[in-house]
Amino acid sequence: MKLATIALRNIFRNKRRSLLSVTAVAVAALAITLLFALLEGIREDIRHNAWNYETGQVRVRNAEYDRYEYLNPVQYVVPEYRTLTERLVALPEVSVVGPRITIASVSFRGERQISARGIGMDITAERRYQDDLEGIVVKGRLPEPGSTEAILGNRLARELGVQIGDSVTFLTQTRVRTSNAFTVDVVGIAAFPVAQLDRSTFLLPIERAAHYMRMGDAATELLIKGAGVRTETLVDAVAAETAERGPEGMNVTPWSEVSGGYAYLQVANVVYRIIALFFFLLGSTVIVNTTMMTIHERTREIGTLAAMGMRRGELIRLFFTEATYLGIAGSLAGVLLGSAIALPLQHTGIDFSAQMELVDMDLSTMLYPALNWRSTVLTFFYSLAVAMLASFIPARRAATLQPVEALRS
Amino acid sequence: MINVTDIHKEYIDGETSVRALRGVSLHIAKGEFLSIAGPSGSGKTTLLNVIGCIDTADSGGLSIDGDRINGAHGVSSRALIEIRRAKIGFVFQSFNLIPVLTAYENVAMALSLLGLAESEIRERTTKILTEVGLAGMEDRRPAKLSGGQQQRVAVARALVKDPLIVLADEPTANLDSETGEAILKLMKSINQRIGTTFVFSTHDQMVMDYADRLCRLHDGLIESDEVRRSA
Repeated sequence: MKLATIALRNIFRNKRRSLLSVTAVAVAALAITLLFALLEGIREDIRHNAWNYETGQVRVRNAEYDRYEYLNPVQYVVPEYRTLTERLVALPEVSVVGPRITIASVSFRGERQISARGIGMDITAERRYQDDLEGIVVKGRLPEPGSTEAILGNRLARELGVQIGDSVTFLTQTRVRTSNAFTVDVVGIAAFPVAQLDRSTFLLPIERAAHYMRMGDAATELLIKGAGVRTETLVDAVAAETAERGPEGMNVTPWSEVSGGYAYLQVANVVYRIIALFFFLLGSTVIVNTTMMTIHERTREIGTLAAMGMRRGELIRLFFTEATYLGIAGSLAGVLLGSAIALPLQHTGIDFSAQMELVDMDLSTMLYPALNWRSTVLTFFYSLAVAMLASFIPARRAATLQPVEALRS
Repeated sequence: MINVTDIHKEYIDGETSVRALRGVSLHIAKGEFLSIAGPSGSGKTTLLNVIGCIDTADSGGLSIDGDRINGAHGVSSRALIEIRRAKIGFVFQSFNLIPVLTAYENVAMALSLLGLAESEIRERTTKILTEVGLAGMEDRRPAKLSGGQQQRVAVARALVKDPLIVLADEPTANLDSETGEAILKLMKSINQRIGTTFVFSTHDQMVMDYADRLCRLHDGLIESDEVRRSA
């Protein structure tokens, strides 16, 4: 008679209690599956937003700009950016390059001063750089290359009280540290995925931005995406190219070093794993309780088995196998149910716009959980392992019972 | 075959101590049908437990089939398990069958623990169940068997491994007299046919009447040891 068969049958002796154990493990596994799916969604979202708007996969900037960034050091530039862009695009590791000119500016509405951040971008190249640049346009269109047109973030437009067809004037400081005011024609309203971008950003053609900022043939930075290569590989390739053929004094930085969201993600990863552990521990207490009650109820049976010559190891294995079955059922149910909830949310998303209103992070207001099969499978095995471990202590205690005492119970 | 020499056993429960065995000596030969009788608290179950290696004596000696169990050079607890597994069969007052197993599986389990091949387990289990009169009831779980049938399964479970000795602790106590007698007859016939050694603890007169040898225990001491029929 195999121990596994006895263990399986034992599970059905007290169906309600077994169901309770399975439910406890399932709830923990479900919560963790959803949590990890959300975390994966956040990770993907942060990466997507950072790569598109903030840091690229790799960023090339003047080292002095990085050093004095808090002073808006527009004079420190990436010179001859077109030539550098062409050279970088020719590298096999590079997929696309997005040159940017950043314009820190203000606009005045009566006595009110509204801060805004212009991003001058190569509209034609940007269509290749961003997966779905048109997707951000909610009204109107993107500016034409070389034109004085701009597309404004939804909330910025509202703040400024402008609509499509209006003009808006911004005041900024140029590369030569002089003030300059420039006027753009609003041709589109954009819904940026990140709330912070939505309330402060406007996009304009890089040629006009260069003109307004007196940049000449320079850009503030080049954002680079790799051709499916690891970030480290991309950094090495770009750094080697700039080191060999200039320009000098450039910083080649991976997104993981400069993205605030990435740092948040690293912390969140640890925090969520601790939360997951607590969930599992909570679920495991039910398993401990069930196993203890089972052992208490079956003490005489344990005595009989011991009297028949069942070894301690076999007794432990018997209870351990029971807990394993409960763990498998609970973990599987939890992971499957969690996946069933997460899968449709991958497409519909969860709207966090109210919560993200004042959050200054590269995080979208609409988050799409993303089921990562690796972490889902890991969740299954984690919850199973915790359930199994939880049963080990009471099972071991059962095996140390003296047969005569157990039979007397 | 089994030698019990000056066994002492004391139970301590809080502030009270009970001297269950106070120097019991006994020799059990192969093929005996021995009944240990006595009133409640006389120490008969304790003696059976010590002989069955599920309890240990505080002092004194016990040897089974040449293995020294108690004393200065007693066997390890692991060896005790092996002795129980291979050499001793138990029949309990409350049958103590595993409720999730069928009659067949309850009996087969004793052989599974010995690590025998499936074919041998099947052959021996079927044979013993037929011998105890349970042919056709192999697939029934204990809950679907009468008390007498359950005790027959328990007897079959004890016998199937062909043990050196079967220890039966008040085997008829939970049975009506007719069923109890049927069980006794069954064990007696096996004893006579195969020569299996049986040791009972009882205060049932019927069990005492069936015994070839009757040991009376009183307050942890053997009061009388009487051979009625030669084995």
